[in-house]
Amino acid sequence: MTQFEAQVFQNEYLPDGGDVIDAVVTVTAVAGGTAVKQAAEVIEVIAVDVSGSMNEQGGAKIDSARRALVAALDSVRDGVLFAVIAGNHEAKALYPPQGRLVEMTAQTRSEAKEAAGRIYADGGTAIGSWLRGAKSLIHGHDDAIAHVILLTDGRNEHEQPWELDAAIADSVGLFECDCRGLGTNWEPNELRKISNALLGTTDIIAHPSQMEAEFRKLTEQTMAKQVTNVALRLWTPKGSTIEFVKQVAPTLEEMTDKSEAVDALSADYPLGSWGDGETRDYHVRIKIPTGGVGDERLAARVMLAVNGEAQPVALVRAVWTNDDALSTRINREVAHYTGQAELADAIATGLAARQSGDEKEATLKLGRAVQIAHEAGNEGTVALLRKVVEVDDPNTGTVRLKRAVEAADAMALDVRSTRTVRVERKGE
Amino acid sequence: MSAEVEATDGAACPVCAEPSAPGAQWCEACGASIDGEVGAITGPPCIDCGADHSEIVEGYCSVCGRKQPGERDHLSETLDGIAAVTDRGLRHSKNEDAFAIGRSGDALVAIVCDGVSTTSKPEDISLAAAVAARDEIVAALDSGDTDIEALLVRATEVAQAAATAAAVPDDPNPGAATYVATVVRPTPDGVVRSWTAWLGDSRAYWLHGDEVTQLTTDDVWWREQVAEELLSEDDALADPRAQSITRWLGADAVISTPTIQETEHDPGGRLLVCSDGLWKYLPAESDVAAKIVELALDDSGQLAEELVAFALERGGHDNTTVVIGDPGLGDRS
Repeated sequence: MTQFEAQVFQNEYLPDGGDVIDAVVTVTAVAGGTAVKQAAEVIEVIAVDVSGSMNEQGGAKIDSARRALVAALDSVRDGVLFAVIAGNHEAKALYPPQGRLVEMTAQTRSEAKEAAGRIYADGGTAIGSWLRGAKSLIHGHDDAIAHVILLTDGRNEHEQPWELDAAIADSVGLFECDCRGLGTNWEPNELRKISNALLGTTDIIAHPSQMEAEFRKLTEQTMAKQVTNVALRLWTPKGSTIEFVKQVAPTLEEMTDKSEAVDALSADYPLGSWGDGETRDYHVRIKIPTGGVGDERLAARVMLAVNGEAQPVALVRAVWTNDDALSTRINREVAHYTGQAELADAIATGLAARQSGDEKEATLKLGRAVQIAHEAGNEGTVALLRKVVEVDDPNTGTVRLKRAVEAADAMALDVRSTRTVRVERKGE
Repeated sequence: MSAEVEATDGAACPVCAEPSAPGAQWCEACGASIDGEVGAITGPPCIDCGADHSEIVEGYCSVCGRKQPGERDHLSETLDGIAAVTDRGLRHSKNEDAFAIGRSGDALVAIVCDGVSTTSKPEDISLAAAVAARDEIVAALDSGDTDIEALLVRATEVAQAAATAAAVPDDPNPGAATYVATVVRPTPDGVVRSWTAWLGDSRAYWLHGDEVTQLTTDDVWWREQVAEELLSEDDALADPRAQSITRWLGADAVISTPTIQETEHDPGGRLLVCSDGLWKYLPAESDVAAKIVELALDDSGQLAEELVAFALERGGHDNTTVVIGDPGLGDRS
């Protein structure tokens, strides 16, 4: 049993005529409540790249894929429905060979592990076909916690971009997908498009040796999920506009375009499945009809909807005042996550400038990124940046571009630039 | 409300079963229609967009989001010779101040309680305490009690008991409120006598022309430090705790024995009892005097309203409550 709690961080005071309210909403799934029924079915589908390029590095890639599959299968608990897809220019049912989901038992685990040992690399890469394969397996299990691990070592070369887009669109709401790119010959934007739409993550596995641990971690995360079909429901007053909704922790994810109208004033933003104790932060910005000095208006009623049933969790308020000391105050959480978004943006722009040879812009942006990450205590991102730039002074963001940069390091910085740190709070 | 609805005589409310007055069309208790239209809850529409009352959820309009006025946002009451006004102010989301006024013969009774914002549900404590104290004092005066000092001690005990009873049981941070109660009575020898009991920093003043006398002394930290010769006035005032109140009503009150001040006044004066929402803008007696002279209002109700309006103009940083009592003797000028 799971229930949701939320806390709102905001400066509710607006100046006379002010009409934009920012709030950070921290949502936590708490065990032991009686509010939400646990999802009955859990589904894990693993789609692993078996294209010809997986033969590179003297077989190290395909070997590690075999071991990673075994590790994942060992982490799936008995009773979970699962399947393994071998993906190249098409999706093949590796296990079970009939192309359906099967319940994990001692026997199916051993059969699946045996099948994993027999994979071989051959053919091209059509990632959309792997998603279509996963969709046909999971289709009909709408209420299940359904998760797909997708591993590729290359670009989506053997189908049209629209085919991948269509496959993603068809999968939304049916399953969640974590994407992993092996090595450095894959395209981060392709995988990010998938993971953003399917409420998962994208990351790099730089070396084949890291694959086993990564697959185990991803499977264990799915096994910890308790509830699915969760949505952030926002009621906002008539005449207002939701300027944006973003997840801001643990990673930055744009959510504004995912809204599904519930009624004229309420919309759902899908959050996927949750494990007990999980906490995520959201930043919402709402433009509301203005009020007179001394008036108070509700800018949003924040609810958590599970399978369409909503529980109210928090209020975002707006109070108009003529006291500048109040209305100009910037809430700490809002400021922190605004900075983290600027950080991700500075890294993306800096890396793009570096790629196109604009060293001045790259130095400026990556320097700014170092400065923000350092100030915010985001040491993980500082460490990633140090692989790409020499840091002379993190306080001022004075950096020099490194001449020799490992491709994997630049890529890691790219895909991990959206990782945020939470606001440090006293007593934590 | 529709005038066409057929009146029913004294029927029980179909929703909450509360008996209604003969001829009532709506239940006083829950607002349902008495004519059997179960669930027809009614009330005022949204103050902003005019949406039906059914759209008001937890005090906010479900269409335009506007917060609806709370019952205690602005309240006024006028009795013969005494008037009170309380207002939420512009900064606080609710009004935690409360007043209770009364009259017994020619005696006037004024109580003001200011709920301490940092405690749990202080608005419940202030209201319960003020009403309990007023009821105790008026009942005693009605029955001919003349020992006002003893009466004020007893009324404070009653207020303290009400404050404790109104708190959430076992609350680690129980609600608390200041307390000031004044009884004013003309005496047969042609003067006016006032008795004031207090805990905390709500104040009573005697107003007479351009002369203003504060009848209370704030129970605040800096004064106690100075009174007990622990710190110099400058050092005590510089301390962050300087303005913290040292006495209050509530389940965790350390000292709930009030200070009592009895004073004789020439005829022609008036009583002012107020919360710090007013006096923070008029800290000295001379500030109060200048404001009263400037306003030059004879009517107690008008004067109370104008003093509250002044606090709002100055920023309305706190809940503000003002009681004006006029024993009605002599010439004001």
